[in-house]
Amino acid sequence: MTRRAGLLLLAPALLLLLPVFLVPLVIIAETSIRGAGSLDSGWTLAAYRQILSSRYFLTALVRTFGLGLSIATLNTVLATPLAWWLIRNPRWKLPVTALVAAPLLVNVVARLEGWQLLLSDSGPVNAVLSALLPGGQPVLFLGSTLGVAIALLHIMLPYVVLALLAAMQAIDPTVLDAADTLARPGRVFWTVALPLSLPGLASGFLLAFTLASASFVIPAVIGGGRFNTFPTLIYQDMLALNTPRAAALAMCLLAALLPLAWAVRRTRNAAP
Amino acid sequence: MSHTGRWIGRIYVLAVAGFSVSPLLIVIVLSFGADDFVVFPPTGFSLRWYGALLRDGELARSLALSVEVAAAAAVIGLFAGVPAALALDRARLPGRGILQAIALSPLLLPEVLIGLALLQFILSTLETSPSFLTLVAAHAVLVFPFIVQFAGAALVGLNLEIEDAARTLGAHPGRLFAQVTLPAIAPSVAAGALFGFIFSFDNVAISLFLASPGATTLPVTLYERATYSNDPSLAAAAATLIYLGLGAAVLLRRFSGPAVPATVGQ
Amino acid sequence: MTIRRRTILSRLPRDTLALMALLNARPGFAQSAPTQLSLGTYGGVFETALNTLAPKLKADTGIELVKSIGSSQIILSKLQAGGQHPPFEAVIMTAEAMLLGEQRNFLRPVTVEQVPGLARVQKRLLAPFATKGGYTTVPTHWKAIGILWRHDLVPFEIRSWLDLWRPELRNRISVQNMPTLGGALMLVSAAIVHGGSQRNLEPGWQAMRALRPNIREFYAITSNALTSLVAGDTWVSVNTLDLGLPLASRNVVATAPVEGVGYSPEGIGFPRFGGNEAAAYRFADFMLRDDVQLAWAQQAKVAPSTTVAVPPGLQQDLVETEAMLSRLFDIDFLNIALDIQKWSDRWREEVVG
Repeated sequence: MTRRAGLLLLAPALLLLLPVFLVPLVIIAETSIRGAGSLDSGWTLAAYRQILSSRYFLTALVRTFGLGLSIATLNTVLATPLAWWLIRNPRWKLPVTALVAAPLLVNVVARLEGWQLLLSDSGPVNAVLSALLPGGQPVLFLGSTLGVAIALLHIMLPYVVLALLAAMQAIDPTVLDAADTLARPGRVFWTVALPLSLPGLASGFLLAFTLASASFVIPAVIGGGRFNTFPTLIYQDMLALNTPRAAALAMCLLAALLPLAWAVRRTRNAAP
Repeated sequence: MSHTGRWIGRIYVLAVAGFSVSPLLIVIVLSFGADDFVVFPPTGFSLRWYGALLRDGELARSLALSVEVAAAAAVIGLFAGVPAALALDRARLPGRGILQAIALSPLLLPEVLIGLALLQFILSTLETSPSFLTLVAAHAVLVFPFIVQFAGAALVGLNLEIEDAARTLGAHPGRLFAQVTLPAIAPSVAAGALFGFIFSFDNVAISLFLASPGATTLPVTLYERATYSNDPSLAAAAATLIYLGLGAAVLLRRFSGPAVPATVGQ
Repeated sequence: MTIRRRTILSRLPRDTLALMALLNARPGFAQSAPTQLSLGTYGGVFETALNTLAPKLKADTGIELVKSIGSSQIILSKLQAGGQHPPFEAVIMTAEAMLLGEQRNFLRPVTVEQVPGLARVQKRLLAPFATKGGYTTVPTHWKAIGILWRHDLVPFEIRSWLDLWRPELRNRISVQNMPTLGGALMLVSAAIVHGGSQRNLEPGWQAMRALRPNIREFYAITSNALTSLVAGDTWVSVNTLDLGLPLASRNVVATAPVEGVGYSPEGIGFPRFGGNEAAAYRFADFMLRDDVQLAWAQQAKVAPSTTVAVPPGLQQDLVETEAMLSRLFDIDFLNIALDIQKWSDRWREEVVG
């Protein structure tokens, strides 16, 4: 496709992004170099200096990254067998997909209420655990990294499963038929299906990573205030009306996440 | 596949589906609770919270608004996202990787800041008020990455031989796209659009800042209520959405006929 | 002072009917077309309460509210974003948000001439808002912040703030996280009961560090703290006292400790560049009327700000009494507004960990 045609096709997207995304981005960038207090103070890098010299913030950044990566990885590992099973058993595709995607329908606060009660000391999960392993203390899910991971894993699953399903579904069935006659089912998966669905896998991974890293409600609520990621810190700064630092944190987060997005994108494009 | 292999598969799928559904089951149980507050297990069974829901005009209005905004945002996202995905996949553009990363970046910036910055732009610079249009535009920006992602992944995985064949047979680009490419990527694009719709429908942060005065979206209404009371009305509202969604899935199954032709099984 | 209450709902029908009768006794205000007033306010019970009062408001003043829902800090952020074009003509916010707004020049002061009802507001509640040119806020209600606790789970009677530090409560307490008024009040209360004050917070910081092992949850959303309390994961919650009354059937007790209580006076503020002043002041004055104050108190579950006499039926359902006004901690809300960023940072590092 010619470059001109390409730019023409990009036009609607640019028309949308320019006023509605680029402008806020510029405003956020500009806010990040303002002094805290009033909108008329001069430009300063104080917010950035504070962030980059603070052990607390750098730890939080690593924590945010770590959370995103581990959630994305775990989700991909969990979702892949599921998607493959559904491709092989198409009768169940719609019902199972509907069940896996159902969490998306529920308001985040309600969902977290569900988790709070499910994972509470006197809740069903701890009841089952104490029945299986009697004599122990209830596991403290809430207020811990474990609880946050479970809740995030839960809500990211639909994205990854659907991305994978879409990719695997696009595989030419005749290719799979041919492979089935030649190899055992396991090998079909590893040598044929997986490589062919790599773009979808990478898409799902990227989406899960992005959304998990950007999540602020789940860590704030399930984490009991103790699991501070960059998005939760940004929100707290906004509440304290410290918009310059909130903006600076956001810019730092963007700077850290963009390269990763670019890197995964390259994997995605290098399809067989 | 061996017999045990098949059973392991089934148990695994059941476990994952169960994991997905478990907090929702709790919410459904809570919605039938007889107490004034959220407690599990509830001490009694009652339909009063559903009753309260039916009498709640505010909630119905915010639901309607959410659906309208999400649908409009999805449509705009499609019109912007599908051509963009095509361009990023096929055209010889400089810095493709960077452009693709930028296409994802609306999801990388915290929504609260995007919302606040847009509000500042609208109020202080444009000197106008937030409206339905500005709300939809902001939501569309969030839907856009989903569509680009899903469409892009589908385009990468396309079997280009079919397109080449069609081209050698004389089909010109527009026809090629409409009759060959588009149907091939349609399932992925539909999935992206569905996600975008749901993402917009569930969105709190942007709607909190950009909803026009007097009009709130459903998740904002529910969120605000939840911050002040822990009664099961939230559970009833959430449960209703679950029923609606699963109902839609059942209808889909009924009307879409048999599933995609099965590949060779075991 | 320990208070144990029956549930609110058993008393509701009788009092509502009485109040509705009282409201309907007033003559109507005839107007051709309603004036719309753009109001930023928090949601939940406040929104419901405003909806209930809407017909009366329209009939008596001709005003129709166009509400935008959000917490005080969200409203404040929007005021800042709006600059000279704020998106509201009136706002309902908490004290420290109001004072921060005034300090940053987002709000204009109001005088008794403009809102005559101000003369009837309790002096104790008006004092925090006194400023050059009048008052920053028209206080419409207040809430007491104290200790909610499970009578069946805590092995002793909680009467004092110092009880929070007892080892029996290890990992059983929930406290509101910073940067909120609740979190700030926790810090200040800790300072006061450990020999300090708002101007000398070091004892408070020390006390909060000592309290760390007892704190299980730093809650962001109030309803989460209540759900935890009802589920028994936490036994104690430092929270708005009125929120504990509906939970009485689960053995939740609302205690105003002997040393005193924190409080949150809230009301109506007026954006500096907001228009529609006449309607805004009329609305504020309406909210200070005796009958409206009582209806507001009952619907929104808050204490009235004026000197109106609270009937026994309503008083049963409110923790706050007029007598309690003399037991409020000495809080400097402006100081909270100005320092909350610094406190929040320090809180995150030293208290939350």
